[in-house]
Amino acid sequence: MKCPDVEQLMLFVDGELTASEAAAVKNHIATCKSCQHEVKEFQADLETEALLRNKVNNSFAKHQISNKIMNAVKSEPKHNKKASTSTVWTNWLVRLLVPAFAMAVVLFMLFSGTTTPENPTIYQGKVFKVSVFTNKAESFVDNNHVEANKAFNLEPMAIKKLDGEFLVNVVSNSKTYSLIVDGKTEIKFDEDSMDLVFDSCSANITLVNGNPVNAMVNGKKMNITKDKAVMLKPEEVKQVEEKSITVETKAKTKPVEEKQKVEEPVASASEEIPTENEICEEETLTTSATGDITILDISGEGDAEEGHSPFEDSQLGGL
Amino acid sequence: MNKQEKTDGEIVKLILAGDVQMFAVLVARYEKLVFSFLLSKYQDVYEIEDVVQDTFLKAYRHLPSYDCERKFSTWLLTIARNLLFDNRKKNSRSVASTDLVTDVLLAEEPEDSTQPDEVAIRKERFQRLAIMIKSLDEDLRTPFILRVVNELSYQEIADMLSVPLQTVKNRIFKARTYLREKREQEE
Repeated sequence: MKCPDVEQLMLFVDGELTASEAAAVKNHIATCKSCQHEVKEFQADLETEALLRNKVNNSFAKHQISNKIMNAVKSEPKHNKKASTSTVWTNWLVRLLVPAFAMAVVLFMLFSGTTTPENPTIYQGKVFKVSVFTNKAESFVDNNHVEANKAFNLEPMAIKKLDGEFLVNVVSNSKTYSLIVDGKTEIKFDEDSMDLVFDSCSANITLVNGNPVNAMVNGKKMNITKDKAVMLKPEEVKQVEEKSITVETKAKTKPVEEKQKVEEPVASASEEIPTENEICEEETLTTSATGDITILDISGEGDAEEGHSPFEDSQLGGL
Repeated sequence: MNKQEKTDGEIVKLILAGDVQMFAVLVARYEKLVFSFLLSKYQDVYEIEDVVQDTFLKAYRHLPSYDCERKFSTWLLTIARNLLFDNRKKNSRSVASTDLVTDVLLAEEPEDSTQPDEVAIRKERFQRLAIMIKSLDEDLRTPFILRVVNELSYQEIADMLSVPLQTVKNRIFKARTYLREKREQEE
């Protein structure tokens, strides 16, 4: 038998070969001194590795905090308390009522969507997820180039530096809305506030889905709406070039220019089951010669799916 | 069926139905995994404790969004990784990006007053090993540590890191080859 490659010998020592593969390697080793030597080397590796394992085990024993974790968990609100005693019929009730409630919320939001920018709807609740999709090939996150149509989730209070064109989807327990952010900005969110925070912002921000929302832009609370132009006055822009944000709604006429194509979402701390009350709208984005943004609304299926984070390996150190 | 025999998915369903105590089973199963995963990424072991706690707390809060078809361990490590990344962003000066907590581990060597020489030799051996492991590329170090410390199978590591099985084989082989060469250079 020809000598197996060295990696195969390592797998043999690690017990990672199938029974028949292991038997073949074992037969070979019995008569091959060179392979015997390699196997001994790997066995010596295992001894050294056991040293590390013992050290880590000792350290873990001293720093095990399962009780602390459980105490913290017990002080959290329980999940779905009623379900602990649920029966088949209550499950069915839930199945029937949840979509009905979601529909009621959607209808309420649709019919209450005439809120003026001066008196915007105040959304209260918890933000489940903020996902960011790149719209253009030349987009950068934290100075790293990202491919078009890729997505990632923002973590609460984690600042991301965006440069390019992005679709930002916010999903909370009470509302879903989407913004297009075009330009340079830092972005973050707080789980307990519906307002996104944009700092060092010189980007155009436009609402493309949902009712008017507030956002903190360069330290000022701004109302972002599709109904009325919102100007960010030059003196309101700190540390960045002076630029205006104009949002305008026109007739629902044109098809979507850039539809998000995405993959399965990457699991994250903010991973979330899709809510049933997401409003599906899509708009066409055009940029005027002056750099202002015009939104053309259209109806239709619109919520982009989530995508696998392109930053998984490059920015997170490959796990 | 006792607690240990339940799958992660079954346990998650019980927790979501209100049985908070079942979360302890998940903590018991995966605390060491998260701890050792973070060990090579922080200098301060108490900081690791905090991140371990945050990881499980965040997992608990977002449990309704966990897809039971996926591996819980993979999901958990993704949360830990996201927290790690956030911490690096927030505390870029105070958090070491890739340091093994060498000093902490060395400081915690059990004292054996009857064999001080042997203790000193062990310390020195481990110190050398820790420095070598620290110098491994992160993409080699993580599967290596998951294998060595957590004694996971190659397939489990591949699932956890969402990489092909062959990639795990190659990376662990490379890590060992590198460490062996380093050892030989020193001898």
